[in-house]
Amino acid sequence: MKTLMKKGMDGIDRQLMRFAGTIAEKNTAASEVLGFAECVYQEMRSLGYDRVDRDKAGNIIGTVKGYQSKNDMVLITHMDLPHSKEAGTAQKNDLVAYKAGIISGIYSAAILKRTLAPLTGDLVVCCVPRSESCDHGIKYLFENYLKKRLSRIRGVVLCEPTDLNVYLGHKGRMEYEIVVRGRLNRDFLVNRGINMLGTMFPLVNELEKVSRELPSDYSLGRSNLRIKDVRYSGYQPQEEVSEFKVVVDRVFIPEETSSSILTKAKTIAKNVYKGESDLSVSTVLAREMVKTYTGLTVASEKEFKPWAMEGHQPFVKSALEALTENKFLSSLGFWKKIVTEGSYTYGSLNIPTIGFGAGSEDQIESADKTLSETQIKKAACGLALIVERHIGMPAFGWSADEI
Amino acid sequence: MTLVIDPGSKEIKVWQVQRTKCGLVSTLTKEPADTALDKAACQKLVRRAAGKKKIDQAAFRILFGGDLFGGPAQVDDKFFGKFSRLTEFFPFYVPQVLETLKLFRAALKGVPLTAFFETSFFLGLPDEEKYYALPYEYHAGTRIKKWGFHGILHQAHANMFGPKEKVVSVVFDKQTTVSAIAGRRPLSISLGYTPLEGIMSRTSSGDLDPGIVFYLMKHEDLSIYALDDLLKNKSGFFGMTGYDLDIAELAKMYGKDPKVNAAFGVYETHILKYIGEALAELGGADAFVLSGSYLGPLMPIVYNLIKKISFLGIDTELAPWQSNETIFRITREGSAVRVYLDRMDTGAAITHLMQH
Amino acid sequence: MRSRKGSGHILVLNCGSSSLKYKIIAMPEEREIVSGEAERVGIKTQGTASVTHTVLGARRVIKADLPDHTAALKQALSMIREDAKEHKDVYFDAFAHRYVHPGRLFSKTTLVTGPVIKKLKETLELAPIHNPISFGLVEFCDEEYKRYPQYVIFDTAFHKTIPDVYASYALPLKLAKKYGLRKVGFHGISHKYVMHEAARSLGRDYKTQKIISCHLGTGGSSVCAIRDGRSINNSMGFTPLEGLMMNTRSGDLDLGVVLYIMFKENISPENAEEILNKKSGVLGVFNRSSDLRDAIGAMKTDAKADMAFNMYVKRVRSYIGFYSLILKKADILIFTDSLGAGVPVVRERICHNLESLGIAIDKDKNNSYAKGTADISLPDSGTRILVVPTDEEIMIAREAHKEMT
Repeated sequence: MKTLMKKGMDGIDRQLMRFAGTIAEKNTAASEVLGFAECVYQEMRSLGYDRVDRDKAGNIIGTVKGYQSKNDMVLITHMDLPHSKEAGTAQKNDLVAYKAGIISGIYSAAILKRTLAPLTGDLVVCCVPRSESCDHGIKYLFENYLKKRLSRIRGVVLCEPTDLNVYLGHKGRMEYEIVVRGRLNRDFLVNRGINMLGTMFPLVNELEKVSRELPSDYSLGRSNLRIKDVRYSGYQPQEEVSEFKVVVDRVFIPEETSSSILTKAKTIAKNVYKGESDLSVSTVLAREMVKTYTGLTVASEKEFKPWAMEGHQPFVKSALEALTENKFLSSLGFWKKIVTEGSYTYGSLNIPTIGFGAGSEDQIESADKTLSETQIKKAACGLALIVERHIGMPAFGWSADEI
Repeated sequence: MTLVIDPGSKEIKVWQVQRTKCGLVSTLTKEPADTALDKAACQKLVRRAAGKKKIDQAAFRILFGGDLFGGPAQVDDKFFGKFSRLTEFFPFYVPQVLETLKLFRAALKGVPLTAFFETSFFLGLPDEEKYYALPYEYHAGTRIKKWGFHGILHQAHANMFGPKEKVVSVVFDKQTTVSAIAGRRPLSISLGYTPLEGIMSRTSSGDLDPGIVFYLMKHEDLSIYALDDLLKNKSGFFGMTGYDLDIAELAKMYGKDPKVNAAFGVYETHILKYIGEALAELGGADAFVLSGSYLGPLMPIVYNLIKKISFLGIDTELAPWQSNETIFRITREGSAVRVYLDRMDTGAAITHLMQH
Repeated sequence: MRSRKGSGHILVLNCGSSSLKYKIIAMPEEREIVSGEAERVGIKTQGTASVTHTVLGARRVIKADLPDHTAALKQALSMIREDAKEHKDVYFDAFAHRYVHPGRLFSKTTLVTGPVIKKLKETLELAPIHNPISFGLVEFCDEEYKRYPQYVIFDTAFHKTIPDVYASYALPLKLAKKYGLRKVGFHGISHKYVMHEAARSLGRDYKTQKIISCHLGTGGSSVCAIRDGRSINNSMGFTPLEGLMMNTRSGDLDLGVVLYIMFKENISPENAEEILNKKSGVLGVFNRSSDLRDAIGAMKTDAKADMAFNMYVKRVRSYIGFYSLILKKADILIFTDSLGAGVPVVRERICHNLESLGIAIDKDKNNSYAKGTADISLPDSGTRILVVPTDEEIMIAREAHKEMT
């Protein structure tokens, strides 16, 4: 099988390197993202995908049609869109992780198409926009374009860095706000000035204490709490009502849910301000009005659910076997640092999901952001093998050499 | 002049076959199929193979026709749709060949094209030979049965004899197959649904105790894909000897290397098993025909085999057996059972079948 | 021990999956003193278990609760003790067990000792139905009747002499060596017995004969090629799944089919093995019964029955053809066990049109065969075709007796 995949790759590896070079130079800063998306779209078309579509949220979807229509496989790659407030932080000349995912994802389908291996269902390769803490892209994709296919999807493979292992999940990440409203200037040291700070400090202190006692999960790691920001309005002490918000960036594990975290945060805050009858406390999941590069405005909650598949699940087992039987030294693992669209596909929709790709999540933050083209090509072959194992048509007994 | 094309996945063979006073003469042109064939390359290949001669007709050697092709078929527009329905049975072969056939069809405009299948002849097997002793739902649901192989040569051999004669036909090729033929119809064939039933080959185990499959899956923790790979790519001569060599090369080591001898011993045993089966089915044989592209290189093994079954009434000329004829008898006049060697290649065999 | 030197009464134990056959045989005369069969052992459905017990010709049937084979043996032994009070001949000096599959660990009749029991324990999974049953009885006898020697006689031992060229599979060398993947063969006790019987009845020295022996039973079936008194090939292989089509076993089949079915139906190896072992063969093709005799009864009107019979016959003929080639025509062709000895049409169809191999059956003699060892071939048949009822228990007793003296 592996030789078949390599054969499929050999014919297009020059094209892959050209594409890699092109995409490395592009970035997804607001002014350039349209060009980036267009580049991806055109590449899929030139590789002979049976259909290439774009939807209103900016998802780019390429389909390789199967010989039959039984079960589909979906590959998810993503485009990291920097937050509009940040200047387009330099991603130029880098084959950063998400770009490597896009290349290997797109080319895995091209390899399969070239080997003429018939599939029992469609292979759908999606390039999904993701801005920092929002998964608006993937949600829109599954609620619209892929809605009709939902019952037919055999599984999802996330083209994310896994060092060519099969990754089964990661911690969740959410952003929430604790809003404290009320007359904050009474009974505080009015003449001292900075009342807001004084009021706020006990809460912050308490949160710091809590952050040191968070639970941890054996496979996924430790939960984390980080105060991202503090904002207040109504600064003038003379005003009747003012409010401040503490914005918390929370990394959490499956035993905690976002609603339980919000409830707990509210309880903590209420405890801190026990005596203050004039203060009201509320917690809310942060939301962002995301304006996609295609002009659509979507309200997106800032939450990526934690998720974890298990090694004995058939989808995982078959994927790992497909790799190890073809000389990949893959093993099972989990991401420790990043979040992925798996939070939605498995966390919310319960579609079997795994991750496979070149490079490691550590590289995203390290100085050396480049990934070797060999690794990307290997990842493309590995993805093709995983897809083939699940929706390919096997031929037992006959060896291509022997006929 | 007839052009016969074998659109293999590793290499494309094209025979140019002419009828001369001495019979059919074929010239072979080969082209590796690694790089995807395109329109121009295909046309170039056709021109190279045909030389300057006019192509009267062309034929394709297709390995599998499944249930859908019981005989040769016109390669017209309807053909492609029908052939692609076999994808589910032969997914590693049908898609590639479809593309190649379309290219050749374009390059051979105006030339009548016929497809010949290596399995067609065996659609005529008796039911008790064709089906396996599995629960009834597996026949009905999956249409699993013996497809057989090398039908083209076996059928050509059948046509060499009269309607009342009983023939054992053996083809020595990358696969080795034995067929019992009576009244020009097949009664048995060694290769089954896949080469995992039948005579061992370079990398395939051939006949094996089904219990071993389950034993190995359990003890070596193998998936069906890994076991399939083991049995079809890592067994056979390669598995038994450790030498990754062509059978023709291994034949040169016959008699000199104990592992090679052991492998050929099992190979011979497999062949004897199917000749025995053929003899029981036929109630005795009038003639044997031995053929295939490996007949020459395997001559020492073939010689041993004939010696082993000579008690059936086979009285051969002194070896080595040589002749200028394509098909010639190696037994003496008066031998109870006649034995023929047939050096006809696929191109000539198909051309021969086209004439009947 | 009450026997004179060189003689002994051997209690032979022959287990089926739900039966226990036992005999006390006086050796060396080979006289049957006691014979019995416990039926429906361990079966929880309709009908109670029972033991049919015959002592010196007198037969009685006792119904008893037999939850397992050890209980069956205890029942048999208690009945023997009862009879011993009235008949001085009813006693035994030793146990002899039939043991189906010892793998590579044993290759001949063995006296049971502590180390032997330990080794036998490692063989249980090789024949997951039969081995544990036999092993259970061996353990029981070792604990409760320690002063009696016990012998294990293996169904595979006779085939130890199959040469490599017929026993090897074309598998990777290392793997084959690691697991001893080669043809082991079964029904050795029966094939050996009928070999001796056939030669004796023809007045020939068994060591000079080329024999094809067909053990065709309503359970398993196998064909054996014998030369110079030794087995040189057997249709069963590393497991009893290879070879002929049987009552519920598929016999030879294309492994690509097995793999494809496992893929398509998403079946585990255990389930697939169960399908090939318990749901295929005659049962799989005929669909109504696993007994070929039932198919034969329905052949004229039921297409599936006809197909089952034709497939069964064809496969036996193929092996006869194969073994005729390696023996260069057989001197004797033997039919034994319930189908081989019991059903004339099976023999007739198998032997049809095999004159070229020297096999010419006499239809009248075949149809009128009633019992005992008989020659059913035409006078000018090069091969003598014999019907020989098998008697594994006598063979087992002979083997044990040989070891005792």
